[in-house]
Amino acid sequence: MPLVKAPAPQTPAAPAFPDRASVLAAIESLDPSERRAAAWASRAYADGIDIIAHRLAVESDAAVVEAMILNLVAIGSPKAAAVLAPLLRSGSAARRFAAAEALRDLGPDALPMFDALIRDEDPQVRIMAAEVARGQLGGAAAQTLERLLPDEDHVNTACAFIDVLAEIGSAGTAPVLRHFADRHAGNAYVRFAVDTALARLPAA
Amino acid sequence: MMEDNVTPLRPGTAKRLLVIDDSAIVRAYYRQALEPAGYAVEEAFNGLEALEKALTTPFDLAIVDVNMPKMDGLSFVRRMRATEEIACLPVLMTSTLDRDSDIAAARAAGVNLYVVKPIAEDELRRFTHIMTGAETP
Amino acid sequence: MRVTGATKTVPTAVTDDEFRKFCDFIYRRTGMSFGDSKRYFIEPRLLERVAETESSGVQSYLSLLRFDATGRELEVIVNALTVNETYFYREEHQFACLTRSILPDLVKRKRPGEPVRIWSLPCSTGEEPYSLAIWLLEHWSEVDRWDIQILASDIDTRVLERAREGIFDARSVNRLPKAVLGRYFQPMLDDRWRILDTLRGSIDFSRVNVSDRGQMAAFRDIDVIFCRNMLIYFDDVSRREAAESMFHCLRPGGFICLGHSESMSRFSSLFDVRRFEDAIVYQRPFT
Repeated sequence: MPLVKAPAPQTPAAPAFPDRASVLAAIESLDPSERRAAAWASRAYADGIDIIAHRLAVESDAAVVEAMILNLVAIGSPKAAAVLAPLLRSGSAARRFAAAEALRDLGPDALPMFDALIRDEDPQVRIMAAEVARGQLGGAAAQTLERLLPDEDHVNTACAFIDVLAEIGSAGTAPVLRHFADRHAGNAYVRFAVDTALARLPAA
Repeated sequence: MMEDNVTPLRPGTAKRLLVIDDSAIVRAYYRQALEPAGYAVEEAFNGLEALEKALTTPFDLAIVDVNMPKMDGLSFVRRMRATEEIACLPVLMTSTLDRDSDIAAARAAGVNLYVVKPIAEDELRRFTHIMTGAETP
Repeated sequence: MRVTGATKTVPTAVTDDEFRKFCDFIYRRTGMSFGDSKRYFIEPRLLERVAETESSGVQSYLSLLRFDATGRELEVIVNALTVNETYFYREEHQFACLTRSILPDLVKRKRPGEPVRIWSLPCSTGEEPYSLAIWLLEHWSEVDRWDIQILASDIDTRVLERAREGIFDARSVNRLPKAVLGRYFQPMLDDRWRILDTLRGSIDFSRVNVSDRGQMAAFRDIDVIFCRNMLIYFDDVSRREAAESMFHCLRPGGFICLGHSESMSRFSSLFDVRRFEDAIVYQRPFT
């Protein structure tokens, strides 16, 4: 019979990195798997966020970036949010969304950063900040979007707000949306987006 | 819910569209604009989901957004053009980005037609008719 | 259609609009998409949850789902929609894909003497890893040229106990051809079947918690992971962590097979999607 029983897997006895210095060295290694392992190991250190942040800014290996972002989320804190926030301006859509998704996963820790990003002067950054609100920031994020929507003059950014409000809004969102649609009565897409969002909001 | 004025799709004859956008509202917009014109519309949330769907079902046209999570529109088109089974699928790209460099990047990736959002319904139908070779209703 | 009883209104059907909204919600939250063709299957399960949560109708059940911050009810309805029964040769097309496409692709790059390592995760009561073993013996022409290691892991020690025991009821072996059943099982007096000791002895069963990085790190150089109908029970962050973990358990070029209603596309971009004749699978890129 060609089936061979595999040797029982052994959990590695000692961690690959005995101290902080070895983690710092590994996170700059030429070998991506070393860098990834170092990202996981940084969790154990008080300045883990700094160790990751330093490398994340220049990291190009997708699997290593994923490991770094997952660990920033796992460590948490508003400081992790501050490391992720600049990535919303990245030239790579994958990285922008990865950061927005991570900020979303940080939950309340990301709220102060969200409040700043959603008012950023760059409309593309505001669109990405709206993505952050899709998550579990609670009612506060929805209320912020409701407050900002009437004054949002970039129609594509406004549509991104509407898109998110359709998911996280409450019955109280409806008047804000109707008002916005009235002001953009000539725009067929805005009308459609508002009607669709209204249909998805919970009933009053 | 189907409206009364919706033309029923005849199985096997309807042109099949793959609408790729992370916004559920945008996907719904395309669907309500194109289904009544006789198209069969399938949706995908990002480029990766679109690849999976395109690899399992034949489509006549992909309508693709640029800015999407996990795999953006340009990466999707590049990957698609490099994948034998789906390399020839025509692509209509829709985007909020309107600089010449954005359009040039889309062309280089293999996009057939690039349209800046928002797109009016009749315009969307016109482009779709032309790109799928469907008869104008 | 609603039937009005003496005390309250009990919904007995789901309107088109409600069905669409429900599917839309499930799709947005989990990426699982159900078309009209699955309606016969979804509707009774949805109505059952409406009744059990004492919601007044589908609409109010949807509100409950939306506002349940704990995610408990979403978990319950998702479980109901993915009834996790396991049996031999379940989703046979993936086994066909393994022998027809995946293994030929893999062994092209292997030196003689290198083992082929296949991991069933989660393995539940053993139907999947034993199916893999039997399928390879029955259907892979090169089976004698390679050392094949089948690893099987689960978080639940009770199912592992049963898997090691290797005794299955008639329902579980129902899909196996009679000849195959005769070759690899011994009938027992109570209509159950015991798998041959040689097969039992060839599979390494172990307890693994996918979320435990230390445990996952012990699994290296895997060629194929069968990870079917597990990630759907995870939240988004756990799913991404699990995908990232499995990525590193695989050799470059190794494959993951997910359940037929599952997709990596919503939570991980680490893998390439590969279309083979019988199935869609995910591959760790070579570089």
